[in-house]
This record gives sequence, C-alpha cells and structure tokens, in this order.
Amino acid sequence: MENELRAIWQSSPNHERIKFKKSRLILELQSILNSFERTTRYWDLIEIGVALTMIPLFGYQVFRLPSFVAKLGALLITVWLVFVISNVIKLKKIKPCKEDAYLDYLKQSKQYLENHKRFSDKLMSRYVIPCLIGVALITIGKLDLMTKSLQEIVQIRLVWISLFLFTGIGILAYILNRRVLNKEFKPKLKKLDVLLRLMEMDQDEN
Amino acid sequence: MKEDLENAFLSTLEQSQEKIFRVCVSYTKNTQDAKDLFQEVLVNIWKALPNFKGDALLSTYIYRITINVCLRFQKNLIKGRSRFISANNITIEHVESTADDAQNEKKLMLLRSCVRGLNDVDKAVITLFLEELSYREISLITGLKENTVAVRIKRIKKKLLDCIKEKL
Repeated sequence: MENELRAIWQSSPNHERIKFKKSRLILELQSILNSFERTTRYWDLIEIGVALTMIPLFGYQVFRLPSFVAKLGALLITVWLVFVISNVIKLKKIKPCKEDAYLDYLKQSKQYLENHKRFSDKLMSRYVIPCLIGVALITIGKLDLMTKSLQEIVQIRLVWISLFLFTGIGILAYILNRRVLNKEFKPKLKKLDVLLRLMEMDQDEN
Repeated sequence: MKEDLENAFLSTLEQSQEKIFRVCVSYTKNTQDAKDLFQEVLVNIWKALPNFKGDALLSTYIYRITINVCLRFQKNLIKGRSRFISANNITIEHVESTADDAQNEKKLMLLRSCVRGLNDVDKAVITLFLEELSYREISLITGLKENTVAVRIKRIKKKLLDCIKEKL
C-alpha cells in the first residue's frame, strides 16, 4: 500500500515536467540585486553620515577663515555637501517595488541600476572636481598664495604636496570609478537585459 | 555566497525540483498557483542559502524552507505577492497520455485532492513521506519527534485510503 501510494504520488513527472527554463537566471539576478541594494544602502548611509558631519564643520570655516578665497572654498564644499545629500536622497526615492509584477520589477530594477550608473558616470564632474576645487581654494587662501609671486609659490613645499595629493586623489577616484562601472554595473545590466528579453518574449508568446 | 555552496545548491535543486513542485501542488488549489508558489519557494531558498550552516543535509534545509513557504502561502501571508515572481518562466509540458497514463492520472488527482484535504502539519508530513524522506529527515524538517512522525504517518495513510475509497 505504502509503495503504491508513493508510486502514484511520484508518477506526476511522467506527464508534468517542469522546465527549469529561466529560474537559474532569475535566482542569480535576485541575489545580485539584493546584494547591490544592501551595498547601496550601506554606502548611502555612510555618505549621508559623513556629509552631515562635514556640513557644520565647513559651514563654521566660512565664518572663521580670514581669507576671502578660503571662505569661498569652504562655502563651495558646504554647498557641495548639501548637493551630495540631496543626490543620495533623490536616488533612494526611485527604488524597484517588489510587490509589482515581476516584469515591471525587472524594468524598475533596470531603471534603478541605470540611475546609479549615470550617477557614477558623472562622479568626476559632480563629486571629485567640486570637492577638489573647494579644498584647493581653502589651501590657496590659507597659504595666502594670491598675494605671492609665482617664484615664491613654487618654493613652498606644501603647494607641491597639495598639488600631487589632489592630482593623485583625482586619478585614483577616476580609476576606481571606471572599475566600478565596468565590474559592477555593466555585467548586472547585461544580465538584466537578457532576462528582460526572455520574459518579454514569453509574454509575447502567451 | 561561496561558489561551491552555490553549485551544490543548484545541483540539489535541479535534482529535487520536481519533488519541491509536488509539495507545492499539495498546498495550492491549481497548477497556476503551484507554479507561483514553486517560484516563490526557489527565491526563498536562494535568499536563505547564505544562512545554511551545514548542520543538516542541503536537501533537508531546502525542504524545510519549502514547507515554511508553503505554510505561509496557505495562510495567505504571501498570496498577495505571488505575482512578484511570475510563473511565466516555468512551463508544464503536457505529453500525450496513453490509457494507462489516464488511469494513473486519475489516481494521482484523487490522491492529490485527498492530500489537499489534510491539515497543514499532516500535509507536510505525508508529502515528505511520499517523497521517500526518512522519519529522521521529516522530523528535522517539521520539528516533530521521530515517534510522532511515525504515528502520524500511520494515521494519515489510513485517512488517505479511506478518502480514496470514498471518492472512487
């Protein structure tokens, strides 16, 4: 009796066969998207935390620093920090909704990734350069370089150190950014595209 | 997630996908719901995989999650989200049936309908038993004692036979 029950129960694969068609891709992508969301949430919190701490510090420098150029640098950084927070909040607003139909969820995920990719694309112009300009202005103001001749400026060791440091940070930021774009965004978007295409083909067939 | 664990998971899943699907069938009213539930189970297993500590067999772990998701589905906890993973990616292939197949299919449908009529715990116990899991594995998955599992199975088998006889 026991064996007969088991035989009947397990007879289903003879006429119902599940095709594991895109499940593997779906699962892989789900894991990728989950980990991306987790990482993004973590970095967003760090960015907002750092920016919120730095705003009062640089805001205070606007009043404290005697040089106009340094004040301008501190102001630029304060405004830039506010811009960073608003950008993070804006990016966080558009999140894929897991309650929607899967195809819509995939489309929203694609949009979400593309927004982050676009943000990374503009990282140099929106993040690194304004920050470096602000710090450079503060350095110029602090060292009172505006009142010095070129011969005097090139003899100041701190000027060279700052120049190399800023250029180094800029290049490093650029390289890291390209790496993130190529290793993080492009493969994820490619996988998402493949799955979207397959799902849309299925929908058309149905 | 470690690559070897991921591969072990995918291979275990490929081996037991039909078994998992059969468990899902007993917790749903129709094949469409079963397909949705099956996909939901897969996603939940995938998400839970990093928490797998290796203290049980991977297949036991997979069944435990399957039963949990099925029970949540049964209690309408995830029904609203069942469209999250569309069943479009799973297809059920229908093959021409012979007279024998038709007879077997009738028996299968009868058995499924009787299993569906059981309570949640009995349903979990009997589906795992019908998938040839040992009492120990069933006990690990359901949290019941091995003796309790044995007694329950005996009782459920009788219930199922009575149900089948009644419907025949």
